[in-house]
Amino acid sequence: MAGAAVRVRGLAKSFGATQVLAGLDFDLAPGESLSFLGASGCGKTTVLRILAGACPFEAGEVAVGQGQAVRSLVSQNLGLFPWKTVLGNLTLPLDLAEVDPAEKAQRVEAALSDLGLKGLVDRYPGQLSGGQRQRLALGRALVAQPELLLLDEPFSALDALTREALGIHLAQLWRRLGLTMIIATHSVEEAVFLGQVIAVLGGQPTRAVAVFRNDGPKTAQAFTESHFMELTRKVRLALAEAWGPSANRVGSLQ
Amino acid sequence: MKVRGAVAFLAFLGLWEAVALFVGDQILPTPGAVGADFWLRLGQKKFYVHLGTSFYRATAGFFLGLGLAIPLGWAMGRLKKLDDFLAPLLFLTYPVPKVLFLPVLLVALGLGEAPKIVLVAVTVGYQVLVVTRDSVVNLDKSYWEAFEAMWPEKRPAMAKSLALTRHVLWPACLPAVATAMRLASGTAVSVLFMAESFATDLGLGFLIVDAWGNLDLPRMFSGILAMGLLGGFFYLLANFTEKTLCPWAKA
Ligand SMILES: Nc1ncnc2c1ncn2[C@@H]1O[C@H](COP(=O)(O)OP(=O)(O)OP(=O)(O)O)[C@@H](O)[C@H]1O
Ligand SMILES: [Mg+2]
Repeated sequence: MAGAAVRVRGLAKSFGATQVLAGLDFDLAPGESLSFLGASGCGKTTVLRILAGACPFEAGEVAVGQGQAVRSLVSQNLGLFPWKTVLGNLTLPLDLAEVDPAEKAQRVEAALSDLGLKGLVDRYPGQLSGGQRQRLALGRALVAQPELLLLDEPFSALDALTREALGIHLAQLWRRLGLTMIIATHSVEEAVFLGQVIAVLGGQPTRAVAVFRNDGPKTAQAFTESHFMELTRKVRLALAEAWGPSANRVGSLQ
Repeated sequence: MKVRGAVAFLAFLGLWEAVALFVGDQILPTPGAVGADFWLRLGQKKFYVHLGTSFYRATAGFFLGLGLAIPLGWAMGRLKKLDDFLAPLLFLTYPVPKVLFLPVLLVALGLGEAPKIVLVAVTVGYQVLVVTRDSVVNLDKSYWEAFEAMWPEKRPAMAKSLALTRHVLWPACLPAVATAMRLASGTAVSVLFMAESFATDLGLGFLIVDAWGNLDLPRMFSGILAMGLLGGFFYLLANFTEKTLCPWAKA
C-alpha cells in the first residue's frame, strides 16, 4: 500500500446560513503527513469528513489519489461497535469488503501486532482502557489498507504520557506503511511532531492562515531538540495571532 | 444472594400462612393446602392439557409479537416517511390497555386460538416496537458513519441492508428488547388470563375461573401458581436472551 496525493482547491462548505469553510487550499505529496491546528469549531472535523467522502460540499475541488483511493477516518469519538469484540471490530471492514480468508487473517494479524492488541482479542470496547480503544480504532482504520489515513483528534482523550507514546508509535507506523496522513489536533506539540506540514486554520470563514514545514526526525528524541521547540513556538505564535492568546488553551494545557 | 432469596421465600410463605390462618380457608387456603393440591394436579393429565394450552398460546403470542415488532421497529427507525406516518399512531394508542382489543379480536377472529394468541402478540409487540424504534432512532451517529465508511460501494444495496441489520441494528436494539420482554412477561400472562376466562374450556385461565365458580379454592390457587410460573418462564427467557446474546452489556 502506498500513499495517495491530495489536492484541495477553493473548498467551501456551509451548514445552513453559517459558512464554515471558504477557499481552503492545500496539497500533499504521496506519503506526506499534515496536521491541522485551529480553535474548537473552526471546521477541522468538517474538512476530514469531506476528505473521507462522508460529507458533501458546495464549491471547490477535492482530489485524493487517482479517483477512488481507499480512505480511512478515525472519528473524534472513534465509532467502535460496543457489541463487537476487538477481533470483531477489526474484521468487520474486511468481512464487508469480502476480503478472502487468508488475506484477512494476515491483515488482522498484522494490525494486532502493530498496535499491541494481541492479548485483548476477546475483549469488548467497554472493557478496554482509553489508549487501548484508541489503538483499536487505529487498527480498524489500518486493516482496510488506506492510501489516506484521516485522524480526528486521535489522542485527545488520553493522559499526556500515553498520548506521547501513541504519537511516537503512530509516527513509526506512518513511516513504515508509507501512507498519506492528515491529523486534526488541539495539541501544538503533537501537530509539530506528527506533521511534515503544519497548517494553522483561522479566519471567518476558515482557511489556512499559516503553513509550516517540519521534516525533522519523528522519534522520541525529537521532542527535546531545539528545532522542534523553536517550531513549536512559531506555530503557537501563529495560533495566537489567528485566535487570540487563549484560543488554543485546550491544547496547550496538555 | 441464594441465601437471601431463600430467606425472602420463607418469609413470604410465613406471611401467607399467618394471613391464611387469620382469615380462614374459605378466603385464603394455607400454602400447605395449595401445595398439596398442586402436587395432586401434577399427577393429572388434564392439568397438563391446561398448562400446555396456555403455554402454547403465550409462547406463540410472544414470538409472533417479537417477530413482527422488531423488523417493523427497524423499518420505522430507518425510514423517515414510514415513521412520520406510524409514530403518531403508535404513541397515541400506546397508553390504551391492550386487553381492550379482546372483544374486537373475538369478533374479528372467532372463538378459537387466534384471538388469544394475537392479544398476547399485540401486548408484547407494542412494548417491543416502541423500544426497537427508539433504539434505532437514538443510535449514535458515529455508528452509522463508521458502517458507511466501511461499506464498499461496489456491492449491492440489498446486501448493505442485510449487513447493516446484522452488524448494527440487531445488536443495537437487543438489550432494550430484552428489557421490554421482561416488562411484557407479566402483562402478557395477565391478558392471557382475561382471554382464557371466557369462551374456552382449556387453559389455566379457564381452570382458575372454573375452580372459582366451584369455590374450590386450593384448585384456584394451583391455577394462579401455574400462571405465575408461566410469567416467570418468560421473565427468565428474557434474562437468558440478554445474558447469551448481549455479552457486551455486562461489561
Ligand atoms: N451537522 C451540522 N449542522 C450544523 N452545523 C454544523 C454541523 N457540523 C458542524 N457544524 C458547525 O460547523 C463548524 C465546524 O465544526 P467542526 O466539527 O468541523 O469543528 P472542529 O474544528 O472539528 O471543532 P472541534 O475542535 O471542537 O472538534 C462548527 O461551528 C459547528 O457548529
Ligand atoms: Mg472536531
